[in-house]
Amino acid sequence: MKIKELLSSKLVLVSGKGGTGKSAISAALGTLGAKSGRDTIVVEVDVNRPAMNGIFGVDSQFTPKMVSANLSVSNLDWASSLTRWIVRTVPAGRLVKHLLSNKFIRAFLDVAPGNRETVVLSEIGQLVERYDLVIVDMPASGHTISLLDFPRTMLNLFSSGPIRREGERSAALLSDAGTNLVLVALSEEMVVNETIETHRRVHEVASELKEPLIFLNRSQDNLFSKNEALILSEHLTGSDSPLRTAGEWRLELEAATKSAHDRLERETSASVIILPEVTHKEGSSGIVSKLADELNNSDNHPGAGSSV
Amino acid sequence: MISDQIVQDSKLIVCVGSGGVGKTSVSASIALRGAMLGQKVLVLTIDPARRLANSLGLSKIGNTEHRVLLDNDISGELSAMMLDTEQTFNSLIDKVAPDEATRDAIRGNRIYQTLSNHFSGSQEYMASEALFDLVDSGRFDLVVLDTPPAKNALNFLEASSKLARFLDPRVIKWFLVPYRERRGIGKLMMGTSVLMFKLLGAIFGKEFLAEFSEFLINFEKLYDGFQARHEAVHELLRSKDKTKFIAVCAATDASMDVTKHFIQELLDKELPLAGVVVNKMLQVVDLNSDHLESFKLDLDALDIAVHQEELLRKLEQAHSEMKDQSDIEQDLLNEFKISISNSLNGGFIAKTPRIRGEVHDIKALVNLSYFLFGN
Repeated sequence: MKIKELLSSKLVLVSGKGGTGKSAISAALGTLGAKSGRDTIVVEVDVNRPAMNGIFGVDSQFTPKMVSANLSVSNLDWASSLTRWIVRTVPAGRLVKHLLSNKFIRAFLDVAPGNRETVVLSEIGQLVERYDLVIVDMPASGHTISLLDFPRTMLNLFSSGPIRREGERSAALLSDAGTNLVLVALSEEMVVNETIETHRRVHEVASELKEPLIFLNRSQDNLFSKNEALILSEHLTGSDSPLRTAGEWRLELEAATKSAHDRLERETSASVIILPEVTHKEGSSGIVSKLADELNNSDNHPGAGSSV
Repeated sequence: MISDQIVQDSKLIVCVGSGGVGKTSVSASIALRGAMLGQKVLVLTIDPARRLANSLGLSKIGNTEHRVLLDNDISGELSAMMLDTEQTFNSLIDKVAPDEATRDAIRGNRIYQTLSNHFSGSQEYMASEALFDLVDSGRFDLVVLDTPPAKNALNFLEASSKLARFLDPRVIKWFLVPYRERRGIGKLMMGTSVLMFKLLGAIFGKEFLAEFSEFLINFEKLYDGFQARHEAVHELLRSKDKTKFIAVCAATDASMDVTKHFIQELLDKELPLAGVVVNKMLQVVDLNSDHLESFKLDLDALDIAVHQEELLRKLEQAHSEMKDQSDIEQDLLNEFKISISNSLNGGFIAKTPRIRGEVHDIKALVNLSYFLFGN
């Protein structure tokens, strides 16, 4: 049910530490959204090498590119987003070039508090107007927090002008019932720590945002029965057989999934959805279509994989 | 394998890498090697996994160093510090402010308070600042820095130049023109400046710009201090004699891809790269019939009822999964070696095996150091 709900919303922000697979998950969600007949776009934020290039075999740019029926991708690079934003914001458009070529102003715009967040959120808001479903493959978690914190910061700092209005618009976008946050985690201690911390901070800075969903990616289901696990871990400790080593390796992965799942459930109020490891052999587009199947399944079989 | 000379000859070793590759363990292990070679070493880390933190004696965040208890046969000393980047921005202001009034004016300023948290890269900037202080103090033979995990590689090196560029007196003066104008300090503004200010005012609001100028007036007094520190940090990081960068990655597509770009970036910025550690590689022993037979005997010897066939079938499945995984990692490593061989320019590629459980005590770190440096 959760995934279906997610796909019928307007905006899904997918956040997580680097290497958790959030780009593949964003692409999989986009694929599912497009399949359901909604005009969908998967957006990356100012990345040097868009992950969508490898997945969909395109050269993702600022201007959205259609990769299949109902599905487009875009990379909101900083320079284009900034130009567009200034064109939208500054009344006299012909001055924009002067403004942007001024090195003092560039230096200011590069570091001005909340400026990146302003520009990015504003552009995302534009896309929400144009597409049925917008999936954002967010930058690393720290940036997610500053992005979510942005409206509050702006409303606090600016008492007038376009940025204040942007702040108000963004606050409305983030508290919209059609906006969702997904946190992607792995069964690794540090990633779980960061996910719990991000979840806590999200509550702090964007309390009006809906409860996030957590995807526990690359999980292992249980191969061994309790009795078998006990034999491997307690009773054969003297054995250096490669069979036992393999069993222990597998058990360790299973235990890591269980412990990550337990902690996420205990220490956050979010729903945790378990996604299995999808092998590398199919290449990135294969991984994405498999992930899309898994996401679909997680609705049909609630608790699938959560036998841990 | 890494040569001990790298540890003995450097003042600073910077470990870079994406998150989750075991960079903290590798950093701590390199530092420990220094201590084993008789040096006084500090490992500087940011948000390590809890148990590793505990084993290093870091129970809480704070910019104070803790001596790590080592076995008696280790002749050197190992200290560890977990960097609190929020605290350091304030201490930096304290350090570079010419007087107390300026310091208080800045720290009390609403814009400063927002800036210190929202300045792009302020955390990374603070990391490089604190680092410089520690190396400069001369209290350690070697400092090993575990950099904050960053997808965009060397953010923390960039931050310092970005901030310094922004705090360039010409930039500050430019922004202060209208402020001084209002107070009759300045003379005529240049035509374009007037225009630009009108535009900036239209975007950011006049109140904000005025407040911003006031903030800059105070910040301007800090400039010399900032600039000097920025240059010193820069020089230290580029020094081939004092500094070595080590890239740490895992045998995954994503991690190696990021690392390739790290390496290129280090080259472009002329930062001294010593080599790459490919961490946590899976090791698998091939199965033969002896293994099966002897394992059956082990099972027979147990006094526990178990469906032997079933368990063996599952173990063979686990073994084949493990082998698949290991093959993937080996392929990735081979490909990786080829693609970085030119940029590496004679640097090392060390690999470490995946160790059961997480590396979270000194014994495990010593063990890891044997894989990195040999016995």
